[in-house]
Amino acid sequence: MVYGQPATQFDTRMEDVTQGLYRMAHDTERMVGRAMALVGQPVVDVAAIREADDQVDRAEVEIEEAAVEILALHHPVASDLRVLVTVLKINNDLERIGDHAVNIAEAAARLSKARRKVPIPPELEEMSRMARAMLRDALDAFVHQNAEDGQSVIMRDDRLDQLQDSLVRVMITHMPEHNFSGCLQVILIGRNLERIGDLATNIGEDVVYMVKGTTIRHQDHSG
Amino acid sequence: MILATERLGVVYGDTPVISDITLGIAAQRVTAFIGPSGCGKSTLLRCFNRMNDLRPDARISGQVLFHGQDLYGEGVEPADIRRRIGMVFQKPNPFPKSVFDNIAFGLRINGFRDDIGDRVEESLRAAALWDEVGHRLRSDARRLSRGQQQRLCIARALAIEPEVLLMDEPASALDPIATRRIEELIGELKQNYTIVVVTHNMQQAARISQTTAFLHMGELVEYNDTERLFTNPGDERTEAYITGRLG
Repeated sequence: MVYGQPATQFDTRMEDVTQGLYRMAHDTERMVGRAMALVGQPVVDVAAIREADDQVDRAEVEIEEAAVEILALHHPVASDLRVLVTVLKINNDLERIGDHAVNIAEAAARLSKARRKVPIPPELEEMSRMARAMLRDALDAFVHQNAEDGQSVIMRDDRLDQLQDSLVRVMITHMPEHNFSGCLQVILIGRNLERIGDLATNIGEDVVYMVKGTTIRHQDHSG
Repeated sequence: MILATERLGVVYGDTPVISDITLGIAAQRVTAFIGPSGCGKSTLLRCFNRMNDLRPDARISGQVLFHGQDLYGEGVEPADIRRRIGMVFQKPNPFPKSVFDNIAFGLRINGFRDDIGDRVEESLRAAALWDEVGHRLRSDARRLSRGQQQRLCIARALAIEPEVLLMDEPASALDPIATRRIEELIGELKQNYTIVVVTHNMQQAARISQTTAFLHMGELVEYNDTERLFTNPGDERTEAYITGRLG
């Protein structure tokens, strides 16, 4: 809403905030990919991922400040308000996804130091593909303001949860014959991917709210 | 519905101001009319207590119903209507009299004879003004602040026990603190009165009303729950207006 203010000034500010979020989304998505690329490597350097996370944290603060300024100065309503609320929520979700990417990289570093090589089950690779695809599609749905694409992300979360359950069972089975700590790192990586899937689901739900104005959180989407 | 319009139209001379407006006003709620300048929101408000009768070039079509009775029907007295449906204007307009007499005057000309003092106090309390002026009832009302003057006008309207209060931009001439007092007062008054407010301030409409009507070029574009209208409007013209993008 731009009541009493030139529309162009408001539109420019909104554009700046959403562009900032797009950049942050791109950076976060890359971080997850880079962190997963470290899993199974003999030597793992976590520093670059931590540095990227610091940048994501700074971007989160900047986007939040800019969004709060728009709320204070322009009092947006209707679709503008829904976009801004969604930006604030996705901003927070992306920051947490960055933290999960760091967790994955740190687990990969501990895994690389395991005395005995731990087999990486196919479930983990599928989880990685799936969580990253969910994140990418949720962010695309936000960029293109497409509620159907947002909804489709939500439907995939159950499958990711099943893969996580399966991964835990496989690794517990392997534990006696392989390195205990190494198996635990694989489970932790899976757990972080599962959380990234949850956050991608949140983003999908928020996109549906942004586009349609209806809240679909905390509903059973399995049917 | 305490008030309703059926295909209401108003023409000033040859110029149609509002046309084909059908809506119902729920009792003991605050209903806001919003829209750009010249959209007909004040004209619509003034139909509810026949204030448009004061314009000789005004012609009304359709119906305005109060408790199901046509306000423009035969034998309906405008003065009686205005007693039951009071009005508060944009600029506070106290009479050049004392605080007490501003309220007592209206009571007397409306035939109230007994307990005038008690009624004055009750009205000032209802308008959240008693604590500020109760000790200086004989002071000239024009010496009050503008915000107090506006609340005095509300007290004056309340004194004759109307069912409905129409307010035409009641806070637009006031500073932010006085505006907040008026908004709080409107929230309290809706317990006992039906309130219809015209405001150009959309944030104010969002804060004080439960139902909002958006008018554009004399047409009722959307009539919706206020929360819904300001978060997810049903008509793209409403969306364009409230987001400041109406061409």
